[in-house]
Amino acid sequence: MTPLLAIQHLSKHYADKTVLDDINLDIQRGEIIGYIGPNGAGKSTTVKILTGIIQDYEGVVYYDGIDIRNNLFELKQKLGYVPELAELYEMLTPKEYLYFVGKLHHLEDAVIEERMQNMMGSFGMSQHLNERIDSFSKGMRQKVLLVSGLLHNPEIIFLDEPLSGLDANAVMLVKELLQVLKQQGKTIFYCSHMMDVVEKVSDRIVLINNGKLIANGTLAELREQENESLEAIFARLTHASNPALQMRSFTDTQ
Amino acid sequence: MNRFFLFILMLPQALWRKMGADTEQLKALLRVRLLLDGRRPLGMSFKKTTTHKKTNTAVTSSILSFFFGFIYLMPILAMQEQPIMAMTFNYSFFLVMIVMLLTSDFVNVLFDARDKHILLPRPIASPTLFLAKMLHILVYLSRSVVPMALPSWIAIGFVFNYKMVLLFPLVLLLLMAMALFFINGIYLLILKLMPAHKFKDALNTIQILFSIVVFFTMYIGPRLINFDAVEQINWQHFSWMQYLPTYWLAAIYKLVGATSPFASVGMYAVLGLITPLLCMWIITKYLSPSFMQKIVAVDAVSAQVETATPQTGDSKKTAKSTWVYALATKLNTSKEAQAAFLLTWWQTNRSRAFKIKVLPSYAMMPMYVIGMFFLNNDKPIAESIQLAMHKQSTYLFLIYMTSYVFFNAITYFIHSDAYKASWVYFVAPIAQPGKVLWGGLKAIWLKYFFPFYCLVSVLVLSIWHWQALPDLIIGLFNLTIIMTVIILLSFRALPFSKIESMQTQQRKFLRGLFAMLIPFVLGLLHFLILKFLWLKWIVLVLLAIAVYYLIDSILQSPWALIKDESDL
Repeated sequence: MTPLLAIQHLSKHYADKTVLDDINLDIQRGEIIGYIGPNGAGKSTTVKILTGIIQDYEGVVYYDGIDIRNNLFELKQKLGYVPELAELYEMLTPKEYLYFVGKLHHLEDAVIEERMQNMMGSFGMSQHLNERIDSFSKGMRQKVLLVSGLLHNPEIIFLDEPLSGLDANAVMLVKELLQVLKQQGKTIFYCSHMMDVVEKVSDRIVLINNGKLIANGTLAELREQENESLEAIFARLTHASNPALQMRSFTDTQ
Repeated sequence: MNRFFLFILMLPQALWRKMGADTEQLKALLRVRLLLDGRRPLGMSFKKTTTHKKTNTAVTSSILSFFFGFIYLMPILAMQEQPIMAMTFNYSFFLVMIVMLLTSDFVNVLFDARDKHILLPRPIASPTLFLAKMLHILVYLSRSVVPMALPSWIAIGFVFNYKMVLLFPLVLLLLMAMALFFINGIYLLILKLMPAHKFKDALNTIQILFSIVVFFTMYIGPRLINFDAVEQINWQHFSWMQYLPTYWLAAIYKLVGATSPFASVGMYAVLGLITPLLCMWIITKYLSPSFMQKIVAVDAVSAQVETATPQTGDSKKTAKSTWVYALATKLNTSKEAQAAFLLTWWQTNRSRAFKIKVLPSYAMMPMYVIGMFFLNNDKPIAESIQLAMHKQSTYLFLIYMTSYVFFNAITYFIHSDAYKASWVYFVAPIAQPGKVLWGGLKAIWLKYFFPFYCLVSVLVLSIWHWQALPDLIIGLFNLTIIMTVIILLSFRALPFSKIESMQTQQRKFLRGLFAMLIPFVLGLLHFLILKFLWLKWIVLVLLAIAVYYLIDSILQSPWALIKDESDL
């Protein structure tokens, strides 16, 4: 079966620095991929390439069998993206912002209105639709961002730390949302540091470190011992040193 | 270069300490500010700017500023027998330029919203932060002002004497310091006296008032003196000039033997030396201590006001019910153009930075017209007005002057502090980004140019009657052409997608000078056909075709031509 997204020999350099080094990965339709790695491993760069923001890279990315370099417009019609940082035009209200985004995706006004009401309502944000975003908390902005990424009913969704700033209830809502989206057959590329969430929602976990793909498999496949947590797997594969020892030296300098 | 600036700025450490600043923090703040000015933010694709390009731009800016500085030579050449009066006029011209820069571009440095998160939680005293901002602005002013002052500096060596050449840099520095502290002192005074929640609204008014004063000075001042007959002037009729701070600064040249037509020059020279220092002292001692608290208060209050006041009323109201949505849909066929139209409309309604930069030009333009036409130094005002109203060229001038108001608007509608939010364009399925640009531009045209043009048209028709109608239509086409050409040449970028840095401000200033040549050239061509009605109709058809093709080339702009951060 042709993978929905096929990444082949993907590399990216900034001057002398290699950010991504020969990444190869296939993503099947309807899969939830947990894409994890330490800070600076190259996760966000990968997402920016897959969403068409970065276009100068080496290697090939196929979407539905077609090189995205030749097919970027079609890919953008089908992808939803929630970036790591909640960068929004904050002087607008959510309603205005979502209209703006909806129109960029060529949605009809009535469709925008209906989806906006439903989605914002699901996040308990209906009463804030006409308030300016610059008066919102981080979590509220994140909810607007999530809705803006899903408003056009994308086929494949790239989520870069989507739970950032959300309270416990909202985190539960998003986890539930991921399951609903999966049931609808959406493909989800999920980048996060929150291992417990990645562990629970992902069908497959992909781990990168220093720009290299070092693990790719289901949680069971990645485990060396029974019940090994994803956090422990992460530490083992990225060769993290003992955190207690590290922090001792940190406080010793105080 | 930054090290050099830092070294110079930190030379009077003892003075800064006396003014209540922590010199270590001050140095750290200045180092970071200067470092940041040299760096540009990474664009969406993280494309880095080459050092070579930056250097070239800085050199080009300096060369252009240098040539621009020749304008300031006029009083030096005209008043060779009166060095102090010549320098008074020379400094007055500089002062006008500095005040223009300060009121339009640097107010955002003073009230930078980012400080709230980065600096305000740190243990930094108000005088330190305020002084850091002042000195930072001083560095930037000097980058524009010093090359501009070079022709005057060289000229006084030939026209007057070498001793004045030696003193010139000191007086120029005092002039910059005086302007800087005086203007910002006024802001602080108002901030101190006014409730925090009213301050943001007041900023616009203050800037417009400043602009009016500056333009009035610029156009009325020189008209009070006839430069052609300057040798016959009886300076005693202009004794009020002694009260001008620029005269006090020029009076400092008395120390090296320069002469003045007025008595008590020595006293004014002392005033010239101490006034800038006094301004600095008063402001840092009495006004800046509350600076940080006030910034916090301004932001806190504005956030509360926004939260408490829903912007568009009932949340259940459908979007269709507001006329802006309807307008966007009516005027734009494509959805992406509608999106950009709406975004531009809302953002320009609410962005204080945008309003501060654009609205004063509406006040400046009438000032300019009054100065050019109605204040003729040879004739009484009533007679000047009568004379101007009989000339067809007067209304041509009015028509083409309107380009000034939209030039600022199109310059600033691509810039925003929230430029990072433009990621949304890059992930959206936009095949022709030109449509987005055109949607935004249309909003600017409709909101910031067309109503003003209608007002001017009413004025023109009421004075010159229907004979002016073809010219008004030609003007409308020509001005639209100017707007599209400027966009195609300089600002082909998506709405609110770029950050405005100090470098872009400098480049914009210089580009602006060139851009003003286009209306001049088209206005001149228009003037040549003024007497030929039949020709006007032919020209009108040709212009309509030109407008169509120019708009089409904006619409067809591919992604490759949409300017990256490093290009602007």
